Amino acid sequence: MQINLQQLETMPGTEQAVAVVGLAGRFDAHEVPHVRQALTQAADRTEGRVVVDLGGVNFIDSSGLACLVQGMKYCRERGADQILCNLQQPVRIIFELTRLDRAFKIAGCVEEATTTLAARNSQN
Amino acid sequence: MAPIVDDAGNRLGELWVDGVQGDAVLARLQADAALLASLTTLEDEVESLADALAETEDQLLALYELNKVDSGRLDIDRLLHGLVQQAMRLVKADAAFVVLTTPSRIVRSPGLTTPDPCLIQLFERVRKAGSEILLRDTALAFGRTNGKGNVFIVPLPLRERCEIIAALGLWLDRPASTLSPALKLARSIAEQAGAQLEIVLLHEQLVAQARLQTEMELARMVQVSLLPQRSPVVRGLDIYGTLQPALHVGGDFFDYIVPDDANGRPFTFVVGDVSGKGLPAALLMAMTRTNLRSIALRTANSTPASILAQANENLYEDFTKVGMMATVCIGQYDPAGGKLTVANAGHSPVIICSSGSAARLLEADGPPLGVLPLSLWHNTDIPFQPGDVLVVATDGLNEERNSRSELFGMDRLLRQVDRLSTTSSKDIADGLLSAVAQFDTDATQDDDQTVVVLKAC
Repeated sequence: MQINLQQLETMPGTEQAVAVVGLAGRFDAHEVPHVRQALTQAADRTEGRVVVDLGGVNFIDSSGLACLVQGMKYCRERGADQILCNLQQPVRIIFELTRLDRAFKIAGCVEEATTTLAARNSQN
Repeated sequence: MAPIVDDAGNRLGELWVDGVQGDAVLARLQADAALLASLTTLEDEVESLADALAETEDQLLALYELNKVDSGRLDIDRLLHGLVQQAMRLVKADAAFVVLTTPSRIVRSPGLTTPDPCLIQLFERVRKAGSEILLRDTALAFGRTNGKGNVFIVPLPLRERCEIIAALGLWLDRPASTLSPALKLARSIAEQAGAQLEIVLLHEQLVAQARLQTEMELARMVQVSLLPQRSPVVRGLDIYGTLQPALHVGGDFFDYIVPDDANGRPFTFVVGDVSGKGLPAALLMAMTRTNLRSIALRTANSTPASILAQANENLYEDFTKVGMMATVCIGQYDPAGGKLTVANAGHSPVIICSSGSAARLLEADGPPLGVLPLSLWHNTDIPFQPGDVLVVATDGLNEERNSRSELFGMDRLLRQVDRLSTTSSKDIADGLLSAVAQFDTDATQDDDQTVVVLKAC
């Protein structure tokens, strides 16, 4: 699995940075430690404003889902959020079946995700 | 007079005899001188052989001592510290260090303050060269000075590895011309240490494997011992449940809570899957299962949704601490009303197959336990008339992959339920597991596979 946490975007209308973590490949129990580390690092760099781009992920199991839930909680504890985007059809179905689509904020693309984060930020 | 001359033509002395004359005497005198020269040469050779023998004996003694120290050390750190200490003492080096890459270790003799990156750089030179290197007049930070000396780095040969993963470095502050015996001894020490390191690495590997195996056996024991030992007898239902643990045990579980006839509570069934593998998943599974059971048994008028809500309230913090969650489907059967009441916390697949209709998936009505500190589940009534079948399985079935990395998937699962729905609950469960096993004839089972089947009769 490929993990890219280099990209930093600026939230629209603010100077605050958002970390964009791109994941690609099969996201299962073997990948969890690496992804967990990447999500924590990303959240630490941006006070919890994280976008996870799942565009390259073609499979996610329950350990992968739990890892994303953990990342979401980590960001929300910091008064921010972790937004998911670019869910491919097989992954979207898993989110719908497990009703995790109700727990996460899910955006269509990275731009929409950063806009959602900015809107959430202005509400706080 | 006859000169005493050695093989190299050096004149060692002269042999004189007085009072006799003649060719015979001179010939005898020359022969005696030649014999003396030959004896002198032999004596030199004996002396040099004795020196070589003493040196070899020293080396053997040194290796014996090193071996004696190393024997029984099955701990990498202790082995490397012992190696540095002994190599320094035996070779009479001024400083010593060992670099090991997998697992990553750097051990240095006391006073050697050269930072790790510099030692790694030296190791990399050996690794690239593929053999020992001798660096003359090289500085190593030693104590408070940056003294210069000869640095000799020799790889530890490991037969099982294709590349160099460990090397012994020695700093020898003495003329390069006198180093030969020390380097020879260092090579022998490296060879000896390499063999020892190989044993230690193998031992560590075996210990790790044994630990994992023990953990998995414990996890499997926890999982299997908490499963219902037999299917319950409930009027109007044919029930069968089975769980096949994967090699790396997951967090699947199922449970039946059969009411006392006196208390009037309904028959309750639970199927769940805690995220993760091994002992952590098994422990969380045990905790979740006990919590659900306790709520179902002790709370008056509990419904599937109220049990989930209470369990989430009890477990949310613990799940958050360990970064896990659990999907759970709970159902109750009402024989009088001919219906099932189900609440589903993110669990999939749950399949209903009513007589005469195609099997279909029932969606979850809220996320798994441990995800949000809220209660989002509600009860759904499902008519359950004779012939109707409910299959609650775990994702180990639909996510099973074959050798071409294709998933078994929901569609295949639904088709199999359609095909098997007229048979008994046991035949349906066994038929589904067998279809999954046939789909994946080559690969190993990645996750636990659980199937609970209820059939109205």
